[in-house]
Amino acid sequence: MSRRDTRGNRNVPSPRHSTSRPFLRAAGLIAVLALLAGCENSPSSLTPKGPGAASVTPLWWFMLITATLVAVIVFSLLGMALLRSRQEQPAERPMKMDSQRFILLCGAVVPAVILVTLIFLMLGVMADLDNPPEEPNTVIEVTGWMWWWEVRYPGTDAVTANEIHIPAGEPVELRVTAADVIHGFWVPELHPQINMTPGIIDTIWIQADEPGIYRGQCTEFCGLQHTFMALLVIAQEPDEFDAWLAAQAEPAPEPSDPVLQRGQQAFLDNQCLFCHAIRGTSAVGEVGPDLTHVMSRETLGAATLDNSVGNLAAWTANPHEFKPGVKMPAVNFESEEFAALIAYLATLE
Amino acid sequence: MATVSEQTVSERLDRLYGNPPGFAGWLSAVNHRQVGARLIVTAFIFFLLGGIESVLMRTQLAQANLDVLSPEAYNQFFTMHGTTMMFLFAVPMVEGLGAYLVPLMLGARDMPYPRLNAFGYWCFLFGGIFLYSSFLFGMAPDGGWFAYVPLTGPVHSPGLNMDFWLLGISFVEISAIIAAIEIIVAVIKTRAPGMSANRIPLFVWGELVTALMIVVAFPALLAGSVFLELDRKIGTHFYNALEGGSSLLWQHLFWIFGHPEVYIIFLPAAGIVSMIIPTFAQRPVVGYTLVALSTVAIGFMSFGVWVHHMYAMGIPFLSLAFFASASIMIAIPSGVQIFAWIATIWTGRSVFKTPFLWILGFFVIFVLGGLTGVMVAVVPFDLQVHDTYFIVAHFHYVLIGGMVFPMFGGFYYWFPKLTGKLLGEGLGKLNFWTFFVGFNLTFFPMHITGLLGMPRRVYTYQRGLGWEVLNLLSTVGSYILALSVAIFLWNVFASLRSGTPAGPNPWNAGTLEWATDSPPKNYNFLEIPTVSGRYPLWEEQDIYSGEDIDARANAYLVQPHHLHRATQGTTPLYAETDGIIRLPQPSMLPLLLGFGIAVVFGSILVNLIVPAVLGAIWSLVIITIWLWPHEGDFVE
Amino acid sequence: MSYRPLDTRSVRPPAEDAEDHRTVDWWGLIFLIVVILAFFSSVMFSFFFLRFNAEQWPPASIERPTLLLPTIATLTLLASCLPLIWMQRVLGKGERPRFNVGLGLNTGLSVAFLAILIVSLSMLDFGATTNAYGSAFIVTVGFLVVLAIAGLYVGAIVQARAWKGHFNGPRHVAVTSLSTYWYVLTAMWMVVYVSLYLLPYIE
Repeated sequence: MSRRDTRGNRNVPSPRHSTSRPFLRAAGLIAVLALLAGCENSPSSLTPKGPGAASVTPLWWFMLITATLVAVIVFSLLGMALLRSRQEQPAERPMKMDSQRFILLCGAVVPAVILVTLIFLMLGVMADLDNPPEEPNTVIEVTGWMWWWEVRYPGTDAVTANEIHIPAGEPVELRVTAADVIHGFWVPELHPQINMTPGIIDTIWIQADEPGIYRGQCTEFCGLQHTFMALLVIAQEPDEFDAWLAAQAEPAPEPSDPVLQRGQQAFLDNQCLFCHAIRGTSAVGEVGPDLTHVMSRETLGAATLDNSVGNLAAWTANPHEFKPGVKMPAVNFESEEFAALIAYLATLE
Repeated sequence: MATVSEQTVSERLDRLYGNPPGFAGWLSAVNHRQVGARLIVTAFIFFLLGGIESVLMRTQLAQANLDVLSPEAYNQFFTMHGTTMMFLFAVPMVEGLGAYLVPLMLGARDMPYPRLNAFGYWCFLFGGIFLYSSFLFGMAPDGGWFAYVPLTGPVHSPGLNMDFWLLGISFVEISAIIAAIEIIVAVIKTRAPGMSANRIPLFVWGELVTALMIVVAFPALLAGSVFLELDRKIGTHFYNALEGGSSLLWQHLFWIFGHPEVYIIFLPAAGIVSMIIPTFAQRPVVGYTLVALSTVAIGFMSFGVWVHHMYAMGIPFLSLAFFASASIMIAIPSGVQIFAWIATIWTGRSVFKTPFLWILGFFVIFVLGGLTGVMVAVVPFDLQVHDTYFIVAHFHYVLIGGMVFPMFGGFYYWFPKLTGKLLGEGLGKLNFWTFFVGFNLTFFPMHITGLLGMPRRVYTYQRGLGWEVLNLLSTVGSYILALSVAIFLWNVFASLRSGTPAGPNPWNAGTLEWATDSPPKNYNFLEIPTVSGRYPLWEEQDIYSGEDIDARANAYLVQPHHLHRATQGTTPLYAETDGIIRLPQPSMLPLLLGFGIAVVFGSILVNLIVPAVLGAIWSLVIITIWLWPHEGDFVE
Repeated sequence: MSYRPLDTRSVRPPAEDAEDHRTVDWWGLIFLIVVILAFFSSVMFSFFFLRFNAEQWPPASIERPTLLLPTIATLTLLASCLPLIWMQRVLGKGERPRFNVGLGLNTGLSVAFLAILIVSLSMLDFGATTNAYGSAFIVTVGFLVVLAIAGLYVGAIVQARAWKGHFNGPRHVAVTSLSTYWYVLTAMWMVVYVSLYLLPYIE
């Protein structure tokens, strides 16, 4: 077995592809940052609006910068190795450094230092996330359903769905669980996520520094309509929040207008009441959103549609057009009855 | 006593180790190269199917609110895409490469249990067909490849969809476990004389550790699947929280399997890298011992990190801290391998052929995937990207970078060994560059999509959240990837028809698989080689004149007088000859047994008791025949 | 080039006088056992996971399983290992008739073990579908029952081969394999016996 001379059959593409890659990456990263800055409407975890999410972002930027440096160094070493090994030199030239030492230093010692540092930084942030900045005054129970969110305020009668009102500037305790399958509770701008597991109640806190609307979406695959299972966290000034909560705790007013009475009757005569509750009426269904103050909400169908009377009518007529497979059936009303129903629902503010 | 010419011996041996003629002979093939090639080709077909699913999903996501796939179809597609790529492509592919290459690298005639090998293939094929047949009934699995209960339990998935999944993957897992035992014993017992443990090629090290991991990890998922199938079929309560069960139990069992699975796929691919780099740097790998030890270390550590898939489940602080630290530190053995490869290139003379190009691509992609891997091991950050597109980006960097790039490199490297023809270099480079560009265009933007809050496993998304442009980029990238795979297929087709003949050792490589013809004769090696180093073909010594071989053993193997297949048996550590391993002849039994088990699984699926019992009896009869020794197996 | 003239009939395969641990059959058995043990560990992990997940185990509505029959079964199983040890020794000496007797004794005791165990299972006041405790209990014991039946089946094949006189040579991997399998099964049963039957009484 003779060793074949490989000099003759070299076929060398430009190794610049390899050496220039780190710089391409760096350019890419700059583009990334530009993009991130440009997406103000995104529910981005990188634009924190509360101390929970904010405690993570410095960690991210530290990791991104370190990782970029590591990538640049590794790719430069690779590029240098390729350049060096192109040259017409005898094979098996030793490295200046002992090769075993080089491998252990670059592959084990340096990474170990970086990684141990990272572990300590991580433990610090984990401890921050474990404890809210101050003792929460408000407790909210959030339950995941296929495919919507039930929100209760213990100690009051207030029940709402798909949006969580919280007082801004203070931490709020959330007790999350699920009614059917595992869901994921995540509002990227406010706090890292937690899974909602049937039979288990997990507690986290969230805080929004400023009043505003923060979008969240279910993260754990929960079946057919996992896609349209979003929610809004609405942070209000504390006094506004108290007013809102008091209003939500009220039952629905009894309609006096005959058309509205007819609409209420339509609600109670059809299958609506098996799933939905309207406090103050005989409708006490529990497996669909509480509709007592449905028109006070921003959205319909777990943030599938903006809330308006028109959208409410379209949704009620056939929710499957907007959210195929949703558990709510399309009901065949006669048109007059339907108009009355919508008129009635439109008063539930 | 007549002198026998080499020609005659070769012809006799070729006949002895070949297949019987005809279709029946084809069905009864047990030779490791045939089984290995079938595994590779079948797994690649599943790779294409999984790829088609992903391109359709990307098309659906190209813009907001598209209606290319219904929600049902999308959920089935992403479930089957993950299931296919993990169970029907990656694992059978690394085991197929192992089945084909390991005996050649070890200098053996065949693997120790050829019939079992063939049986493993049939299980894989039937299991794969079983899973995909669900599409025909419109009942493809739709609970995700992770199949979290209670969504996949009897209440929320009443259809047969998840039964197809549970039974199908269990069937395929049987095949994976069988192939793993095959590989382990081949490495322990059938190495060429002189190939002591510190001379085993690094690809074989990768295959060995992977096989050991499969043997330990897959039973966890098997157990979990049995429980879930019992919950679904007969109403047990393992995962039913109302009756004292726990949905977390499934997640533990799944990820005790699922995280090692990632390394099960990666380690043989890292082995491919460790084979290709020395060949194209034309020098032995630097830090052999370190690379082999890191392979083993990764295998061990990967069993201590499964909880990092469950950070969001409300795990206690201390346990989180432990699993997070272990997950972060697993980067170290990978780092050692990376720098060993760099040192090899550094001190060698690079030959820039296509296989090497794929390995360089692997470097870039895998390092980036590893870096985001460290990031997502960090609990608070993970909780901000868990189940978002950032994770999708991360694991495609790790899995495609860590497995598919080396696999294509391996295809270009060993294709000449399998077929005798070189793959085209020009098309190969085009293949590589389109793949590299397409890959980055598809998956790099997903990091950002995830950071911008887009969750995984959604069939569409709303306008105005800043996700449109990035998704469109990813979709375009996926089309480029598809084009690249088409280029590869064309290259294979063209090279098979009119490729350059390769000769035994086209790359001037140093390991034993290059000592035989391309493609090898049925018997692999005329005489059993003897090795005295890690790169026998680069050593000065003739591999056929070694002194380590037991003359009796070699003589027995070269003279096919008993008309029995056999290979050498050597000791586990030092590879000294200690016997001859008799190997069985081609047999229909593997196919018949696979068929019997397929009948059992199919009957369980549709609750038919009688066919299930008949299938079981059939299988038992076949097993009895299988275990019964043949005449002549014992010399009285 | 031509090959050395060899009297091919004089070449005897070295494996025929190989010890058991040098054969691939033996190695195959070892890794089969590794797979079984990995599966068994997952089953026991699940049992204890559900146990520590529960407030009361067994649940209040369920009586602790009685000990009498399972203990007799355990003793029978332990007794069935003795003929295995004995028969391997006599096989080494080439005493075929006594070997056959030993194998028969082992089979008889194993069948008795299975029978007693199944009777004790049928007397439980819960089933696999009663609750998670019942599921974990029945499936864990059921797994051992399936393994024992498989062992008996392979044992029957070995028995048939023994009557045909396959094991009069020095090579008897099948016998070693069967005994090893049965020892491992016994060890697993002891884990099950302690965890499922004894532990509720100790606590």
